[in-house]
Amino acid sequence: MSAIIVTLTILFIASIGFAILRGFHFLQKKDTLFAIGASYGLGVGLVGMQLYLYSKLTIPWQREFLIIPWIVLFGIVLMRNRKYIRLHIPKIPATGKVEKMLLIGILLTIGYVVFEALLRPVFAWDSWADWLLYPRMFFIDGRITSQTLHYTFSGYPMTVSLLGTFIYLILVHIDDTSVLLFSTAFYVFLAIAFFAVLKERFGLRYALLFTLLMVTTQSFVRQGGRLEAGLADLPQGYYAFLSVIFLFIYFKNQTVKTLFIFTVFLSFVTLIKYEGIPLSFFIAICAFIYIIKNRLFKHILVLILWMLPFLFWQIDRRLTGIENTYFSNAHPKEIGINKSINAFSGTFRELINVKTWGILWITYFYALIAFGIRKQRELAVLHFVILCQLSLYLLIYNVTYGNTPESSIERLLMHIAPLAFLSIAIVFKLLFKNKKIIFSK
Amino acid sequence: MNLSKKKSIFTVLISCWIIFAFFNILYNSAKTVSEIKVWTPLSDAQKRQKIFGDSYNFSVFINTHTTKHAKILFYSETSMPYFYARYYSYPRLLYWYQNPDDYVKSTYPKRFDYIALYNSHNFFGGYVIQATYSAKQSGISGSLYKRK
Repeated sequence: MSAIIVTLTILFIASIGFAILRGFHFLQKKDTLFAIGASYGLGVGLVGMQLYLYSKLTIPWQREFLIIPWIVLFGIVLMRNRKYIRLHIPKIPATGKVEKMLLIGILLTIGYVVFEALLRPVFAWDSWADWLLYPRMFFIDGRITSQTLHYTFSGYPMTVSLLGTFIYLILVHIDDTSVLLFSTAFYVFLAIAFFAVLKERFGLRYALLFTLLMVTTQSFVRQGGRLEAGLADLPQGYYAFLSVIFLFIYFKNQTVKTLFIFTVFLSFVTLIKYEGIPLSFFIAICAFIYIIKNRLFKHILVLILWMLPFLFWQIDRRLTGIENTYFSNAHPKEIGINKSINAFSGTFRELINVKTWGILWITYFYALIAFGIRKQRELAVLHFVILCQLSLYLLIYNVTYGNTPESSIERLLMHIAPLAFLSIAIVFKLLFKNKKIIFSK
Repeated sequence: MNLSKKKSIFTVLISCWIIFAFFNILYNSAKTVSEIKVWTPLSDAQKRQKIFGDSYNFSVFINTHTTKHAKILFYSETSMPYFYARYYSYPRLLYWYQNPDDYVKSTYPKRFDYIALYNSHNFFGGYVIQATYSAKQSGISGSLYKRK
């Protein structure tokens, strides 16, 4: 029963995002599938902010108070768009045997990931020691208290924890098995968004093929439901991917509206994990360069909105006396030749770890070295973000105590893995767009 | 290397990857079936025992023998029992010390309602024993002291 309620809650959260994305015309009708993929992320960010604000304003976290504002939103969206709403069953395109085979592969994979999420209680250390510890505490306390944050020395961003809290509040009890479906939802909605982007650009077959490659990658399967569900790395990768896609849409239409929704998603990137802060910065640099190059100077004001939620969170953290102990206590500076060798060799070993990543990173680096960016702005952005973030992790492994590739690189690569998949898909299409190759009709 | 050779290598990589993906589907499907057989007959407590072992059992022991909002000094050499108890026993507040030296023994315990010892034996002035924990299979033992 809990699993059904959690599933309905996830759909409700995604409906919030969808109502905003489509109801306020941030995305066009042709982008409906992508809007579905992005809807969960927007909804998660908004319910997280809702809980945070309620706690600050001492509004009780009662189910009615949590749900009613969104029901009102649905009403407003329906009123605004009543002329355009036409209910119809979407046309399913005619598919060949290859497409059917790929689709079955994707659905089968998603199926067992869902099963795996529901098989056992939260399993991964970081999930129960951090990301699902806070939902438990917040739910029991009925709000976010500074005592709780001091108790755990928490300076972590709270979006994922507040999502867990929201689910517990709707469930009215703690269930650390079915709550793991939120990870599965990130996995599924990422797959939908990824598929939608590729389908629109490259067609159904390519989209299905690369979506299959992504969803069957063991690291995605594990964080989506098997053993490592409940971590924040998959959400981090999901938000980074969506931010970059909204940036690409902005490159196309140059509208303030698209830039605004891009900055919203970019701000969520900073509110998932610490690693999201530099990640969002690298993506923002790409946007900034584009704005300057195209003399869209007024747009800079919209772009800098990306930093506001992060700044509010930092100010609030200072006011409540929550220190950032990451570099002072937990990971002070440490340099050494052996440490550097281990940083590079450990990261390299993970990049060629076929068991975890398939041939993703081997193919990615091969494509980068062999084909470069081929004068493609999108590829340049993807490579810039991926390589900057990877270099940052290497730097951290080189200069901080207690951080080694063995302890985290498997998880951290998840932040940039969806972008790596996209870059490979783009290179693949660029190279073979006019030729009959594997799987061609 | 000319472009066509580079493209050939790229195609080979993608082809291998596709084969690998289908292998993954078969492997994961089979694994999920065997996992379902193992996990579904178990109750929630049995699943936690299977995953976390004594860390879970000791957390249940703490929950049984302490009051809901108690402040507990937690001694354990390893981190797992402490962090799991911190998760599972909330709203009890647990504070972890790995080394029960004289300074800690004489200074800190006054601030706590209970002292939990995981696989460690110590004596604390001003506290009386509340309950003891013993796991036959693992040989792990523990005890819980309450402030007088």
